[in-house]
Amino acid sequence: MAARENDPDRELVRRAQGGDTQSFDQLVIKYSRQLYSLIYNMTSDKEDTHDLMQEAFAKAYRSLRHFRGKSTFYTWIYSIATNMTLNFLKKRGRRKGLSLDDAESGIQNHKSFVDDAHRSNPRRQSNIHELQEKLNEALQALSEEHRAVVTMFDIQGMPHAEISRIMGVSEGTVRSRLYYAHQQLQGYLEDFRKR
Amino acid sequence: MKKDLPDIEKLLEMRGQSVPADEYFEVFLSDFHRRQREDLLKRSARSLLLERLGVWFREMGKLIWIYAAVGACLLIAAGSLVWPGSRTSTELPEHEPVKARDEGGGFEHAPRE
Repeated sequence: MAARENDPDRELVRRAQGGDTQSFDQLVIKYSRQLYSLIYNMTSDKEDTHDLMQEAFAKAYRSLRHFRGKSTFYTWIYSIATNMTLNFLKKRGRRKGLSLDDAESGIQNHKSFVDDAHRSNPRRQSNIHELQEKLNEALQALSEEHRAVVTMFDIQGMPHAEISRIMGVSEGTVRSRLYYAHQQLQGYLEDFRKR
Repeated sequence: MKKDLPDIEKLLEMRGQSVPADEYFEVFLSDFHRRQREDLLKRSARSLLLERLGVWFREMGKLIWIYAAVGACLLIAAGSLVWPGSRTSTELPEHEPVKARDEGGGFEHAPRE
């Protein structure tokens, strides 16, 4: 199998399959940040993110014996987390008025947006803050599948091919979902920019 | 018009860098271990047995079908040997009288007076 040979986690997975729990812990440590970002940007809720991550790793641990290496461990754990989150969101339905925690996302404090010139420009800071809130609203207005694709591509920087493997859809579908989602987000934010 | 604001790609990209501090992930791992222990305790002996059986069947793979086929053949063979009604249909019971048959294969009727 090509995926098995190219999998950087092959050795850790093999040892974890043999009952070495510390190897599985290393996989948890390695991927928990990325999975946190994925799930949090899809659910917008810290507690839900924590629980879904726990469930995703627990499911992976229980199913590890059946993991045959047809994909990399990274793709596999991402598929588990994505499917689990999509199912959760469909059950939960869309919560109105939900938005990401501004203080935690901290975009308005990021170095790209904060320099001396802009620090002295409270109006711009306020606009960025407002723009971020608008973006949160726009993301929540997308369907779960479109939000998942935007999260993986724009937020996590994954290539189309990887997203298509994780979501079990063609690359064409990934591209079209992205195109549609970008149009939606752009439309939301343009209204704000023009004001 | 707020043209100097960052574009959408930049805003989205920034979100990827927004994850909790390292302490959170340490707590997360401890919580993961705790949940695993609780899960193990919750599962009854019966469910563990069923799980082990399930795993055993899966690991057997194709061999299980061969064993099942051989087992079924043996059961059928053993059953045909010990089953009391397994005589051949051509044998006639010795304690009953043989009925006379006519040429056409039907039973012979008593002649009318």
